[in-house]
Amino acid sequence: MNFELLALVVTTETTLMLIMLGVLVGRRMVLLRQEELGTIETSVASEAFKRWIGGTASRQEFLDSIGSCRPATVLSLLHKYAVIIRGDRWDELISMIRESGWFNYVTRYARSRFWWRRLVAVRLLSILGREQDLPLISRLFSDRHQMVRIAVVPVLGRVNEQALVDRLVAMALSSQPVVRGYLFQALARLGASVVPVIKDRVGRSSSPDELAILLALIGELNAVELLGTVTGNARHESACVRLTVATVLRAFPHPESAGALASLLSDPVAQVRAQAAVSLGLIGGVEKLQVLQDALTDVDGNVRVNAGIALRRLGADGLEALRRALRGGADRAGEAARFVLNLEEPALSGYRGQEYGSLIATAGGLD
Amino acid sequence: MDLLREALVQSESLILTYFVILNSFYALLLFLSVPELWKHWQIIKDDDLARYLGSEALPAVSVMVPAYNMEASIVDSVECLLALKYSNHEVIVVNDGSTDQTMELLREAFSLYEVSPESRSTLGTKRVRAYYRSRNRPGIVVIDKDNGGKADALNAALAVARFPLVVAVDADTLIEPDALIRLARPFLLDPDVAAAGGTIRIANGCDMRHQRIVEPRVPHSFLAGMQVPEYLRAFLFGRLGWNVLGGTLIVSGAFGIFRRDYLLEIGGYRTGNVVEDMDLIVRLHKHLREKGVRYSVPFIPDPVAWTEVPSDLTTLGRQRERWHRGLVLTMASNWRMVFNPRYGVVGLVVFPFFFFGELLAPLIEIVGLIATAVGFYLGVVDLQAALLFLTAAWGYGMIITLTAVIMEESTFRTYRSFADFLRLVGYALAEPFGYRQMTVLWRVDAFRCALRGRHSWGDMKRRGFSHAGADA
Repeated sequence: MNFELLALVVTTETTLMLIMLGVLVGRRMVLLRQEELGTIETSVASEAFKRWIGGTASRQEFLDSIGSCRPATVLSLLHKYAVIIRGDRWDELISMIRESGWFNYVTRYARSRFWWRRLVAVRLLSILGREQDLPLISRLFSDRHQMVRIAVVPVLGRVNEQALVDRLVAMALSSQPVVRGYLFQALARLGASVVPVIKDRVGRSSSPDELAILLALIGELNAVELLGTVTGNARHESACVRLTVATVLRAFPHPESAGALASLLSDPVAQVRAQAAVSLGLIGGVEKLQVLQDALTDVDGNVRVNAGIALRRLGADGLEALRRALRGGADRAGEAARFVLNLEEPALSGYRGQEYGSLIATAGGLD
Repeated sequence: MDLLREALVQSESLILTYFVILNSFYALLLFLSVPELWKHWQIIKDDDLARYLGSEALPAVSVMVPAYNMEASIVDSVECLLALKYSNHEVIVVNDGSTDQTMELLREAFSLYEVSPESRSTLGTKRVRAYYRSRNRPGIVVIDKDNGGKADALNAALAVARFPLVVAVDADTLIEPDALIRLARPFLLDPDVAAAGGTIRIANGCDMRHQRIVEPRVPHSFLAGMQVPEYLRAFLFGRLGWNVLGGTLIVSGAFGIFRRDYLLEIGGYRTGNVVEDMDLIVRLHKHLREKGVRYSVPFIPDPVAWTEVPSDLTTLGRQRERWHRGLVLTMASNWRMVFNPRYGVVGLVVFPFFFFGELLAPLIEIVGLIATAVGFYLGVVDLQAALLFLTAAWGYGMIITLTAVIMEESTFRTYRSFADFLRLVGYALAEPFGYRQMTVLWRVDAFRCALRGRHSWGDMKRRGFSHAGADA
C-alpha cells in the first residue's frame, strides 16, 4: 500500500471535510440573511404595488422598485394582485409593466437554454401575456421540457388563438389520463372557443376511445350546444362510449338527458346502468322516477344501490318510492331501499363523487 | 506461512480496488444527484404548479393501509389519511387478523356496515371475513381478514382498489397533508411513470400535534439521531442519483405510489418476503423490461412521510438484519438479472451495484478488517498505513454524508433551529465511530439468517407516536 498516497488522500479528505463544515455553517448563516433580505424585498415590492394602487407612487417609482427585485418575488405579487385589482386599473398595470425593460428582460428567459428560466417566462406570460406574445407562447408550447409545456397551457386563456386550441385538443387526445385530465381543465377554462374545435373533431373521430374522450371533454366544458352529440351516442356499440355518455349527461340537467339516461338504465353492461342511475339522480330527473324504481330490482347490486341513492336525491317523491320498496318486503328492492335509507348524509355524498367519477381513467377498460 | 502472507497482500489489493471502484460509483451518484435535486427544487418552487396540482385534474388514488394490532393509533391514522389534501382518494384499511381492538375501534369510530364482497381482481389472499363501508365518512373501505402478513394485506386492498393509482402506506406512518398531491406530480410530468417513491423522515423527537409533525426536530436519542443523516444520505443522494441512471430499486413500502394495473400484472405483492417493497420493484422492473414497456420509477424528494425508527439496539439490529436479509433473498431469486443486457440499465448497472456494492459490502468490510488485523500480526501490514486506509475509508463516508446534509440544508432545510442543525452535523460526523461497525455486523448476520432459511420479520418494538416526541 502506498503510504504517501494514502496520507495525501486523508489530508485531502480532512481539508474537504473542514471546507464542507465551513460551507454548512456559512450556508446556514447566508440562508438566514437571505430569508431576511427576501422578506425585505417582498415588503419593498409589496409597498410599491400598494402605493401605485393608492396613487401615491409614480409609474417610474413603481417600475424602479420592482426592477430591483428578483423576478420570482414580483411574479408572486402579480399573482396575488391579479385577484385584487380588476378592470381598467389592472389593464393599466399590465400595460405599464409590459412596456418596461423588466418585462423584456424576463421574457428573454423564454429563449434560455435552462428550462427553469423558461418556466419563469411562462409564469410571467400566464399573467401578462397578450396576443402579441403568440410567437413566444407557440414556441413554449412546443418546448422540449414537459414542465414548461404543462405550465404554458393556462397562458392560452389569455390569448384567443384557434390554432393553439386545436393543438391543445390534439395533445389531450394523445395524452395519458393524468395529463389529459389536466388539459381538460385548461380547455374547460377556455370556454366557448373550444366548442367548434370539439365539434369538428367528433365529426372526424373514427375510434371509440377517441370519441369517448371527446364526449368527456364536452361534459367538462358543459357545452350544451353539443348535448345532441352526446345523447346521439347513447346507443353506440362501444360500452366505453356508452359509459362516457352516462357520465357526461350528469352535467346537463335537461329532459333530453333524462330520456337518454332512462334508456341507458336498460343497458346490457351493469357499470353503464349504475352510472346512468347516478347521473339521473344528479340531474334530478323526477319524471324518470318510475325507471329508477324499476332499477331497484336490477340483478346488479351496484345498480340497485345507485338507483336507491338517486331516488333519495329526488326529494319527497323519491323517498316515498324508497319507503314503498321497503314496505314491499325483503326482496332485492326492499334490501336496497333499507340500505340507502340507513345511509347518513356524508356517506351519501361519498357515493356521488367516488363511485364512478373517475371517468377519464376508466374509459377504455370496458370493451 | 508465505502463502498466507501472499494471500493477505493479494486480498489487500483486491479490497483496495473494490474500495476505489465502489467509492467512484458513489461519487458518480453524488454527481448525478445534485442536478436532479436542483431540478425538483425548481419544480417545487413553482406556485402555479402547486395550484394546478390542487385541482381535480389529478388522478383518483386508493390509499392502502395494512394494520395489525394498531389499536393505539389506527383511528387517528385513518382520520389523517382521510383528511389528506387530495381531491379524489379513498382509504382502504386492512385489518390483518389483529388480536387487539383494532377492528372494533374502526367499526365504532367510522360506523361501519358490512357490504357485499368488492374484490375486483383475483389476487389470492388469506380468507377475507368481511368488507365494510362507513355510514358517516365517505371514501373509506375496511377489509377484515385472517392474518397473512403485510404483503397479503396489501394484496387484499389491491384487489378492491377502485382507482388507477394505489398508494401503500404503513398505518404507523405520518403523511404530510400535501404529500399525496406531491407524490402524484410525476404522473403529470412524465407519462411513462410506473411507480414513484417519496421521502421518509424520522419522527422520533419531533414536536407533534393531532398526528401531524408541527416542528421537525433531530432526536436527542443517540440511536435515533444517528439514523437521521443515514436516511438523508439514502434518500437525497442515493435515490436521486439512481433517478438519473433510470434504476431506482427501492420505493419505500411505507410511502410509495404505483400504477394499479402494473401491480396486478405482476400478481401483486409476494407473500413471505421480508422486504416486500424491494421485491415488488425488482419484479416490476423485470416485468416491464420483459414486456418492452417504456417506464420510469422516479424518486421524488418533496413528498414526505414521517416514521418512527427503532431507538434501542435490539430492534434496530433486527430491522437492519431483516433489510439486508431481504436484499440477499431478492438478489438470490433474481440473480439472472445481474449483468443481463436484456434488462438494460437495471441488469447492467443497478443489479451489479446492489450485488457488489450493497450486498457484499459488509462481508468485504469485515474481511478487510480481519485481514488487516492478521496482516498486522504477521508483519505484512504496516500499522500506520492500515490506520490511514481506515481513516481514508471513513473520511470518504463522512464526506458523502456531509454532502447529503449540505443538499438538505440548501433546499428543504427541514430542521430550522440551530441546535438541531448542530446535532445533525454531529451525528453525521460520529457515524463511522461505532454505529457503522454495528450495522456491518447486523448486515453480516443477515447472511447467516438467510442461509438458515429464516423468513420472519422478528418482533419490531415501537414506542408509538405519542412517545416518539419524548425522545427529544
